[in-house]
Amino acid sequence: MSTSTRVAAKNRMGIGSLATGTYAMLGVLVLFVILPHFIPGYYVGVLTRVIIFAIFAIGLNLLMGYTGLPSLGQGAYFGTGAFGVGVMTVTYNVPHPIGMVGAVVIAGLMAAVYGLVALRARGAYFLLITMALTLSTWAIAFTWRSLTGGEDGFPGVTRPGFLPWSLTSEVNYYYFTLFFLVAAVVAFVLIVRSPFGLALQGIRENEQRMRSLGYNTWLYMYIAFIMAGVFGGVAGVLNAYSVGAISPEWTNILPSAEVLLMVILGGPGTIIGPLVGAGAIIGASEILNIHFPERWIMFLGGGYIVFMLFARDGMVGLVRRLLRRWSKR
Amino acid sequence: MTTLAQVGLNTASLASLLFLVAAGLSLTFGLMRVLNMTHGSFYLLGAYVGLTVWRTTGNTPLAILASSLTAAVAGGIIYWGFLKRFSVLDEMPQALLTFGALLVIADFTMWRWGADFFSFPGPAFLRGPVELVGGISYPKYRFFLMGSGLVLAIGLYLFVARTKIGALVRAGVDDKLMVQALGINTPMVFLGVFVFGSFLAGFAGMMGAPFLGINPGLDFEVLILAFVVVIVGGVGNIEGAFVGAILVALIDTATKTYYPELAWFSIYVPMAVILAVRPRGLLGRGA
Amino acid sequence: MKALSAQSVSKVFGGLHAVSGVTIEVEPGECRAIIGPNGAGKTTLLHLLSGTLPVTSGAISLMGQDVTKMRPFSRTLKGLGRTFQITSLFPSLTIEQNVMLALQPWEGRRYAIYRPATSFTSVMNRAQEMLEEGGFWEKRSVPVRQLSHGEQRQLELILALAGRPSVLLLDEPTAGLSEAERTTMTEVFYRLKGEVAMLLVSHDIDVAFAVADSISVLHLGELLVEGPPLEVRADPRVMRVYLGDEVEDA
Repeated sequence: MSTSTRVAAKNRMGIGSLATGTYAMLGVLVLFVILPHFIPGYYVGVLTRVIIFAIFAIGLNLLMGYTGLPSLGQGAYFGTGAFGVGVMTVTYNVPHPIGMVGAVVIAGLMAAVYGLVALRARGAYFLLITMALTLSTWAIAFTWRSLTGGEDGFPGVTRPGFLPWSLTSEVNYYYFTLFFLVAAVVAFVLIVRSPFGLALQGIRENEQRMRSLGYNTWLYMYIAFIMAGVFGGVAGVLNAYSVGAISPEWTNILPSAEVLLMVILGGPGTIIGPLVGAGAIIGASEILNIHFPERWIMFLGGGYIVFMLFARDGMVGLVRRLLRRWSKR
Repeated sequence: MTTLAQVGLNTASLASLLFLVAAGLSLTFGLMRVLNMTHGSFYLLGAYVGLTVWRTTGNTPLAILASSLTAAVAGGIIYWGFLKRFSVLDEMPQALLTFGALLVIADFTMWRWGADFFSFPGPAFLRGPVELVGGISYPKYRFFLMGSGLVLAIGLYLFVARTKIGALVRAGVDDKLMVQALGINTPMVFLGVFVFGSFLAGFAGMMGAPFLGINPGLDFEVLILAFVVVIVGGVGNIEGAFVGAILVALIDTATKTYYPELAWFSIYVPMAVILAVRPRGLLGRGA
Repeated sequence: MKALSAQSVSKVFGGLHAVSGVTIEVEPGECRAIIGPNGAGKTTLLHLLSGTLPVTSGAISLMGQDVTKMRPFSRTLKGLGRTFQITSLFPSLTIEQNVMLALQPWEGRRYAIYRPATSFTSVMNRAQEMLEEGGFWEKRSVPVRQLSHGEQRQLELILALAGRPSVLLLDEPTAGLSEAERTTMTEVFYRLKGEVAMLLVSHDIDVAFAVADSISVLHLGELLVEGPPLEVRADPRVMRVYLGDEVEDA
């Protein structure tokens, strides 16, 4: 390889932009690491929720932002992950590491089954069918009282110890979830930059063309669907430990609607978007719950309307557009 | 034998109701290519308003009118205020916007009417059962429901088969420019069809109340069932919606009757069947 | 061995015979054009050959291998490339990413998930080669949607050729091109002749007669005439059915 082509290859890999992105990510990470020492304990709990939902949203972003399949049914895997770890560790006394892995596997298997159904549809049909799938999962969780506790919920989930640390402390548990967030972001970045991830984006842009280029597009979408379910399962497991009790409502439409708005609001198809979206939605729910308790769903619905009308590419897209306008001046 | 008759009659009642809701959904879907996720919410919102009117005045026809008009106005607001701004090609943003409206209406009804289950006995002259041959008795009201469903089905069929707007619906027109080229004021026609479809949903909301009751969550159930009816019957196809309504109602009723333990899932059964039966699945726009 | 062979394929929609009993064979390196008036069944035939629609009856084989039951992506992997009537690219991805997508299946990298797509040197080197050849290298980072229509058609052909197919299906490749762009495209087809078998479906009779070694004329779903361009051009049935229509249209 001649020097000039090597230089070209280097530029081609976008070293410059990769570096800025990495620095930005490292900056966010440092912020997340030091933040708990400067804020009251209550907000550490809020931040933990932001992290859990960011993991949840990263999974959906893979499906919506990169593959072009917006799902309104991610709550199914979130709730299943939670019930999975709860039932295994509490009802059956399974050791925590096995319970956690097992729960994520169950959530992934559920996605593997539901994916067979949902991927027979595209577009708005896909939206409605994933919604129906999560509602039917809710019906299972709600009626299977002996397993899930039905409408009373499933109490008594205790956090595991982790090496020398007890996770009962909010700060320790916060770092525990942060570890998973970092792992999720790293996995996500690897996936979307890989040939597989490029193929997903190709499917988002033009599924028919991808088929004629020799890609088994169904299989790609199916794998992405399962991956999103696995991310949802991980988030569900972490949330079960965080709250200490599980409600069938976790499999209902609300968490699905929240996580979808997080992806939309952050900016589908961007790496930082789900983090921004999770922060914004959890933050908004905290503030609004003080002033308008119990009216959260209305604001959530309003959020969909506002973003569809004014900023379909989310806040990241909005900022980019503003920056572009500003730099042109 | 009595059970069988019961299933048949319940199917007919539910089918009449489903037809009313699905016809509206099918018309808007067929003409505008918008999957309106708020359609079930119009049903529920109408029913709640109708209930309140009935409680204050005791006047059933007025309650049904109030229910229908509420839904019609809500539909008009959704179209004129929001959907009109979108290009026909933006299928997904429109669906997501109507989903947002679904959440807003669901929370509003929860705020205003709470989580209770309401029942509505229907007009006095239609209360009580009708004795049929073979010792079967069946609520008078439900026969009334079937009758109105049938009358409306015929009316709608004629509307779609005989009018210019109906022709557009049948053609599944998805080109606003083409519609305009035919000399039709698109926004007004779309508004009209949207309002009319919503009106039907609201009408069904109050008409269905003596049968299904009024409670939160009905918006989702009605939406899913109506969606399946539209898919079975074919988008924008009124005869198809009629057949689809009967089929979906039959599956739902039979599931509830013969497998009561699956009652919670009966609304998903027709959907699962449809997805399994359609060889190429549901491919959305352009498929 | 034929590069592509369709033996009496038929497609029935409901009661409508869109294509009935059509036999078409393309020799390796040959360029065959399919022409015919609107509604002749050209597009349906193309769908049958690419696998987008299943045949009602008949058999299709590619380089001697039966592909009748194969899905479109498998046929591609067996050596069938195609372009689309309406430009079919990945609009918000860059030119380079478009080409990478076309190359990945051939470098055995299409399911790789652990390394950046840009780190596979075999893919990247061929991408560079193809982009330089096509004159796109300088603007490789430009999103495809910013290209002109002619450039998009050209890129589309590059994608279709990325897998070094043995047969290339070309669906109206000159539709919507300017006169100059059409000439360039015709030259490209000339260069490709002998390297890859081409099946050209086109309304543009000038291009068909200029490039094709042989021509098949479809009419009402059936094969009307086939043969070398001069014979076909002179055939009275073709004059009547097809050229006559064209003259009236013009």
